[in-house]
Amino acid sequence: MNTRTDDNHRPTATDGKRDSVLEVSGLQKTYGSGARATVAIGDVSFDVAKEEFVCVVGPSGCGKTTLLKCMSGLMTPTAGQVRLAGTPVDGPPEQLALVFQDYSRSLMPWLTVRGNIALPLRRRRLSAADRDERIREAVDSVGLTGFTDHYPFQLSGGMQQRVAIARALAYQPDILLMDEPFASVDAQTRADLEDVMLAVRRRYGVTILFVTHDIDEAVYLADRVVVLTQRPTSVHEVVTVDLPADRDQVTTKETAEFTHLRAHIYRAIRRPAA
Amino acid sequence: MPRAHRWLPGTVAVIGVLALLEIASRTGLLPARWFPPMSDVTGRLVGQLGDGRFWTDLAQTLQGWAIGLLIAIVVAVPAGLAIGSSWWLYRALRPVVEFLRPVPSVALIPLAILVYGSGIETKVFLVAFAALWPLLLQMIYGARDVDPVALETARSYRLRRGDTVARVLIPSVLPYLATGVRISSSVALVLAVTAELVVGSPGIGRAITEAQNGGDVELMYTLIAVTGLLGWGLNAVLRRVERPLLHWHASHRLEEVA
Repeated sequence: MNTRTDDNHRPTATDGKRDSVLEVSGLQKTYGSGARATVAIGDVSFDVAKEEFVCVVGPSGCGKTTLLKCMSGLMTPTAGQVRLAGTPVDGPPEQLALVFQDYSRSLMPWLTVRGNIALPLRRRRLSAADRDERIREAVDSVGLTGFTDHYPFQLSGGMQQRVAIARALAYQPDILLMDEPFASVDAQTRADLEDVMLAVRRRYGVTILFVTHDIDEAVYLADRVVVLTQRPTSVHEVVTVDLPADRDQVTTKETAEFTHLRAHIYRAIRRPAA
Repeated sequence: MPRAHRWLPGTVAVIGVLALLEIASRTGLLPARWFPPMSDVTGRLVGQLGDGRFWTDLAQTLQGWAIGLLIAIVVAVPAGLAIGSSWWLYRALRPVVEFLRPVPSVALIPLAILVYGSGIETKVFLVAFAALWPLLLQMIYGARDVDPVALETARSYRLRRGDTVARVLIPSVLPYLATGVRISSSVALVLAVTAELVVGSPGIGRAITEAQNGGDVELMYTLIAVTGLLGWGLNAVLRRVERPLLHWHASHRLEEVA
């Protein structure tokens, strides 16, 4: 049941053209078996290039979280494969960091901001000075300077998610996976956190795969948007976002290009699965 | 409200109740023969503090409490964690626990006397049996309540097993341990005094029976008050011990804010 086959492996459109960090090929996930089997993910293939920012959007209940768990090695796909830097993923890979939607449960309430960020670094053989420098830089880049000795409960929700982002950045992964990270913060905080992501992306040059249900957010952040269909999930379309790299919450969102892309993706998602 | 004022309502209430009892006894509203005035009881309490016999009794009660509670902790903590974190053990042992838990410890007194006689062993056995269950249940709940998101975070960052245990599992179980120990501690005290009263093991409980037999109602009240103060004091000590370990937890945070 857990055997994975490479039968579904098919070359992606970009094979050989780009330096792919993450390749998802013919990914399928079925829950249960026999008559009660539910196909969560039908057939999903796409890739993420080095230093690219890719957003994944889809109708609600389309298995975005399942997809992300398969990509992060927390769940084994029924068929197909995920490759990270060419190596098949069969458990949580070392060069990957995951930011959860539920920051309040993903941060350890008994550890300070510094303690939380330092926790995954214990596995990396860092000198104390290197570790402190990484923590300092990560904390600075998410705008939490001066809060390293605070406990999560002393921070607002948006600040707690900044801690989770800083923890992922200090880990210095090749790819950062984010599961609807801003779904439970208010609109203003959300806009601030989106801009934090654009800033840290520039600063760290990290590759980001960002799952969201918010189409505006996807277009605003991404270089490319992977649009998923309803269950059984497959890739409906991959939309390239040709907006300038410097983005602004007001001026970018009022451009004709942004409005057009946003409307295009809305229509694609609303359309019933073929 | 300033910190110092937090004690005010409680202190006023205690003094008020003592004053009411004093008035009731002095005016004859309560028969003074069975309800001596509180000022006399308080006087006797101060007097007892200079009595070596009193301190021996107190030490014996505390000894039964401490050994019994320690045995309960040593058994319940590993057993509870194992049962709570294993699907099989949980399914298998839950009915057993649910059957044994409601058995009142005092129902085992005849058995304990048969096996151990009327000394410290009987007291310790009863205390340990009664104190075991609340702590065991707390540990089972604690092991089952470790946040799956926290565990996935640990997995996705590939934390070492030791780091996951020391920095994720143990801290999340700690609040349950603290609550369990406090509940078990008060149960342990009740059973220590019960064993002394019923079985006649040496301690404050037996001293209460002796005071009653000797017709010294004042001393009897004094010793009853001592058992209450003892329970209150032990609870306060345990709260104090857990505070630095659980300062991040909601129960202690609220205390800081209030």
